[in-house]
Amino acid sequence: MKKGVLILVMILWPLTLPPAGQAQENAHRFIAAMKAYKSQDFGTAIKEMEQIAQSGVRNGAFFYNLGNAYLKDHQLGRAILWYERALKLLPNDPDLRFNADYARSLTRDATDEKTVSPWRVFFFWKYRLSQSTIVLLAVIFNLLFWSMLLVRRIFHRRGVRYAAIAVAVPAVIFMVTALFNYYEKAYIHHGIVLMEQVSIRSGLDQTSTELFVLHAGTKIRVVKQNNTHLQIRFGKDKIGWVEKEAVGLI
Amino acid sequence: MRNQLILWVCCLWILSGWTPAQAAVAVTAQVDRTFVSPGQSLQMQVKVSGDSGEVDLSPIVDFKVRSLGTSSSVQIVNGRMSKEVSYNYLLIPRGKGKLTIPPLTVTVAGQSHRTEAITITVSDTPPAGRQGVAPDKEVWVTGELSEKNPYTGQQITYTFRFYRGVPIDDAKFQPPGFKGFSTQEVEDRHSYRKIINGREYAVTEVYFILTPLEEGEWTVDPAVVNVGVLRRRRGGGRSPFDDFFNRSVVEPRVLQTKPISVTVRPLPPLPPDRAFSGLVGRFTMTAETESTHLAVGDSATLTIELQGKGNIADAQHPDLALPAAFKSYADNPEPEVVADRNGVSGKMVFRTALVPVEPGRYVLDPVRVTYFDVDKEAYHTLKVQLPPLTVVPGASPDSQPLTVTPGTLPLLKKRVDFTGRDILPPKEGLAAIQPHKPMGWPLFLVLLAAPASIYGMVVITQRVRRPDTSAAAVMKGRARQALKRAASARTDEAFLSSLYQALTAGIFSAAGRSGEALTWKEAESVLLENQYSEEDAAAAAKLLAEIESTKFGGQTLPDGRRKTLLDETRTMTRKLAP
Repeated sequence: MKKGVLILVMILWPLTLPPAGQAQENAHRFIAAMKAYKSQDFGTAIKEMEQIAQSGVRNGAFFYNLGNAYLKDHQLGRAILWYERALKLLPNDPDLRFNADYARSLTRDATDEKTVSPWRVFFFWKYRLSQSTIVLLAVIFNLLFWSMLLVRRIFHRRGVRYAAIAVAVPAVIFMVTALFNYYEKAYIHHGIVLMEQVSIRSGLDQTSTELFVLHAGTKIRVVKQNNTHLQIRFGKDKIGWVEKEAVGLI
Repeated sequence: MRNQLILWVCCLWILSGWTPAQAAVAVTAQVDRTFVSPGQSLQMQVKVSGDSGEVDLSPIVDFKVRSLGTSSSVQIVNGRMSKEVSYNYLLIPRGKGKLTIPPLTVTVAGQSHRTEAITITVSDTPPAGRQGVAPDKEVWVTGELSEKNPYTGQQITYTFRFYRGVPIDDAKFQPPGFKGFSTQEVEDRHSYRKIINGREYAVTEVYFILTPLEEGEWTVDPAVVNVGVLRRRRGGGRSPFDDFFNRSVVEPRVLQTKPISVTVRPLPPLPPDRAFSGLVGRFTMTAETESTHLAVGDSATLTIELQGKGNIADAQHPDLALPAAFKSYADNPEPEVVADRNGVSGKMVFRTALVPVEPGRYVLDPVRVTYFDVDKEAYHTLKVQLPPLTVVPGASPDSQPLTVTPGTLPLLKKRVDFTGRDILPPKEGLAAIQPHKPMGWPLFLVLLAAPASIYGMVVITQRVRRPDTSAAAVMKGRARQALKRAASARTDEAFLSSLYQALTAGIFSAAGRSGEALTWKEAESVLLENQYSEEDAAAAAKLLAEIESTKFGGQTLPDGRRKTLLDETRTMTRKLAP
């Protein structure tokens, strides 16, 4: 039985890894993209890196590079979109934060929400740590907690009880945060306006009343969506419909 | 009474024909339509503002002209009176095609004034638009740039004009995309009326101040206006209720300007001996000190005013080369900048407090600012010479700061501002394309549940393996122990005692209670009470009696009997305490 499981794992494990040929092709494309970037040919750099992105590469540093290329190519909306995607993976990268701040300073729409919300201050770890880090911490603290309970159970060490309680607090915090992150990823979507200027309308038709206008790089929250349109919210009180092509989901 | 008197004076003053605006005589001719069918007529109105005049209609040959009378109006605005006389005519076309109302001469107070020529189209094709105006001339938009070959950083104005010759409803303006430019919309929009080809239009102008960010070829995309043109309902004619109840239909129209190509030129190379301030436009500068005679420790304010038209808001504090014997404290710049249709202009005021720390006479270096002059297309350096400052010793020792040598002068901290903006470079290592696959929520839940599951299994195992402390179990254990002792006993007495203990413990275990000793009679009755068969109870009682009698009778066990007795006791005990 054990031998069968082992063989199954050995068969399935390579399927989870990227094909070697794909990795080599991505490496060639990446080198070409960096070369084009240095020679100010940002269009080529974008084209090569988009191909890599379509192959499924998910890496904060790579998203940062793509944001840089778009910003240099004067595509502010797509630049901020890739910076936001990178920030989810590398929230503390100083280069990324610097460039993202600079890109945001070029946007034209001012939000009426506070720059630093109490939510962000109180739940600082959610915004300062990447989602992978939070998941890892939750698993580690959870493992520590149950290990301590086990030690207490088997060896009857009473002092372990207080250590277990101390470990339980961060374990619960990181578990809840990780679960919220999964929920947020599945159900709460944000997007970035890609087009230079886009009208947010009261309905799905072009003849619907234009409610307000947003510009490239503005971050919005997606309330709901259908095949062609997104219902978006901007700020506290602005809500309306926009074509899907005008917004990139983070 | 006093109010009535004032009213009469005002009326007489107006009726006396006093026209202070006589000097500003303006003459215009306008028609109510520029497109008519043969046989239809149109109305022409010649307006003379300032005074009455005499209109010469003889140049009109393409139309029959009939007078419809004269009207006049007087307006007093802000204490200024203006008079306007309108001469109304009915024109009947004499033919088809493009007919012209030539410029008309109007003589006002002996001076001749001329109107503009007006072209009228007479055609069998009914006009598609309202009031005989071609649809493309009912409403339209234009976009215009003040400069199509600007330098990088030079401010130019994009003017959007919206012309309306018919009533409209619900106009929505979408500004063009200004890719390659930083944009600032001028808040004040300008609206006015303009006569074009004899027809009056309402015009609204919207302005954007554009600053080219990079050299190259750029395109200002079209601006778009979605507008509804109001039209009366067709059929049924017009009734007085139409206007009252707004019985009209809205015809949606989308208007857009033409794209405009812009060639942004780079700034020429900077002469090597100058430091560029980043300003592009036309500027002047003044600088002055509050006082030229100071005591050590006193403060004098140096005020530098940089003003002009251009990116004045980007001006930085000019560099000051002060002697080491001065401390300087710079205030935040005070901007006074306005944006209007002509661009951004205003001034930036930089104030710096100068505090001498040593007496003496000091000649300050001139203040220099180099900017790019867009009119002269060259760099220009503004230079203002500051007057020499005389510093005398302070009046009291307290007012005199410590003498500071240049090497020990305390550093004055100043907020560090960006002098240029750019992004940091890309991350070139191949590690950037190593895929990072996040943990999915099912695996996360499994990893969370795994330690808890292990803990749970340990707890269950412990509970399963916990010793039974019930009387039956305890007695059963004793029976097992006694049997072991019996098997290893060396003397008959010890052997029989152990057998007795094993059997009584087995009986007590079967009864579910504890105890030490039993007679064979008690044993039988106990077993019968606990639902054992009479046969088993009798067998157990008999075995117990035999052990007791052998033990207390002092008999020696024959060979073989010891083994059979042990086996019988073991079998009985297992039967009673399985």
